[in-house]
Amino acid sequence: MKSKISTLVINVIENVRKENGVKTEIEINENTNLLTDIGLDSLGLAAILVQLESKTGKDPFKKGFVRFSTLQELIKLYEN
Amino acid sequence: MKTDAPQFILRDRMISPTVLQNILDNQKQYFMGASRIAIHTNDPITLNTALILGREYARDLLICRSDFSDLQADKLANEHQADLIITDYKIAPRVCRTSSNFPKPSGSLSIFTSGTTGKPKLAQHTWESISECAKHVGSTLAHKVWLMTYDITGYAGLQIFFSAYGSSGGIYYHSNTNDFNSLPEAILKYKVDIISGTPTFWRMLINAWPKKLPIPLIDQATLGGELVSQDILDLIQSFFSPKKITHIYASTEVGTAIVISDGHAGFPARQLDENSKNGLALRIRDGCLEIKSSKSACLSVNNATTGNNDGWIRTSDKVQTSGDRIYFVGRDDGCINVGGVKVFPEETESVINSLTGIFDCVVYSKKSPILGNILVADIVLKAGISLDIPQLKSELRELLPKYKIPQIINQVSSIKLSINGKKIRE
Repeated sequence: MKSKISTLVINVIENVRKENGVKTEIEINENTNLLTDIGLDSLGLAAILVQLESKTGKDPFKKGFVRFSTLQELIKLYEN
Repeated sequence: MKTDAPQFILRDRMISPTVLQNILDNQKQYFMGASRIAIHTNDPITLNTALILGREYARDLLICRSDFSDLQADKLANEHQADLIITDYKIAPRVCRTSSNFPKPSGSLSIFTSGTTGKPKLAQHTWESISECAKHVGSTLAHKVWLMTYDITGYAGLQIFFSAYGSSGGIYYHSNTNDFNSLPEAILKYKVDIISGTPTFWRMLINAWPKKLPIPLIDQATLGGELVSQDILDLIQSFFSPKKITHIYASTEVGTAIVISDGHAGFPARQLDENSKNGLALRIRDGCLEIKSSKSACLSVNNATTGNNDGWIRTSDKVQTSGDRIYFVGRDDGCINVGGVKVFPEETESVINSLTGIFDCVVYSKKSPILGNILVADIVLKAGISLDIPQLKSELRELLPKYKIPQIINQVSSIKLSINGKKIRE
């Protein structure tokens, strides 16, 4: 059951992977580890957060860094 | 003393002190027969043996940055009249000299700082000053295992090496590029006691820690290379509960200037002292920190900040006083710190502008909870050209190291200029 936010997050991830020339085929599910499983490093992850902020208008990190490692955890940050 | 403990661990390859000694014995002859040695390598063993021997024989060692091409390294070795160049396991003499012929080395280690555009700057240190950090490793931290998180050819990487080696410790090397895959498991497996890294590294490590994996108790957590804010100190403290947490303010030119272990960001105002005690003086001028080091941590840097200023080096790091504490608040010179890598936007701009289809661009920073700052580029394309971001990024990857490539690219119709006609980088 995909929510609007989760579709958006997955699209942003695909977009950033494409922009960075990451070609490996992967299956993204809610437990996918964003640091080790999607072929992106800290730069790619940072780009994902910028795109999510501009698309949702939300900044879950306004008050400081919040831990997240899986897709599900990232989606949760933008769902609140 | 843990004599059977490995000296260096490269992923699963352990180099014991005996093996290391064999390598040193084999390489000795090259160091005895040369005066000035250039080294261009990504391999920790090649570099470490050169550091040990270079220091032992008081040679002049020139360390090329790991992101130099072979051509660049060769060119630099020529320019600086190296009579030997070491690249991984190859040792190539450059000039045939008999031992009576070569000029007496001054006994120095030179490393490259990242310059603005074009040529990287050279910072020259004495062997004593570059390895002095070992003296500051407390006796309770001897014989420990250190994690290498920095570029081994940069100032911070060298400090880790000398601190560990000089305190009879070992070093674990996980990868050349920060690869967090299986790093937490390796930290546990090799019983890493001391971790020193940038705030970005620490955020990524904590994020990458698998939920089910135990969290080790580490002896020492150190931060450096980027602005350290209170929240990252608190995050590390709550996650790892290290016995001690320290953050360091240092630069390739000046060396290590400020060391804070009280768990708070910034440093105490009482450390500002124009009269240097133990060789280091700090002051604030025009909102920026200035440092004077009488111990000449750095013998020479071909830059303009030393010289007329009576020995005071302007760090270009802006500071703000709040009560009895001084905090770092950013850069004065437009330099952007992206995850510990210092980037001058003008350099990225000129590379982007060199690509076909680009009319002009402006590169600026945006705050990032992961990297501190990331690069954004607003690009004006030539008429009739459409924006293809993947293509653009792939072209930039051929020309720039990844941290200097804008993470966000926007197409704009024009670039805002100030009254003076300068690009506004906001």
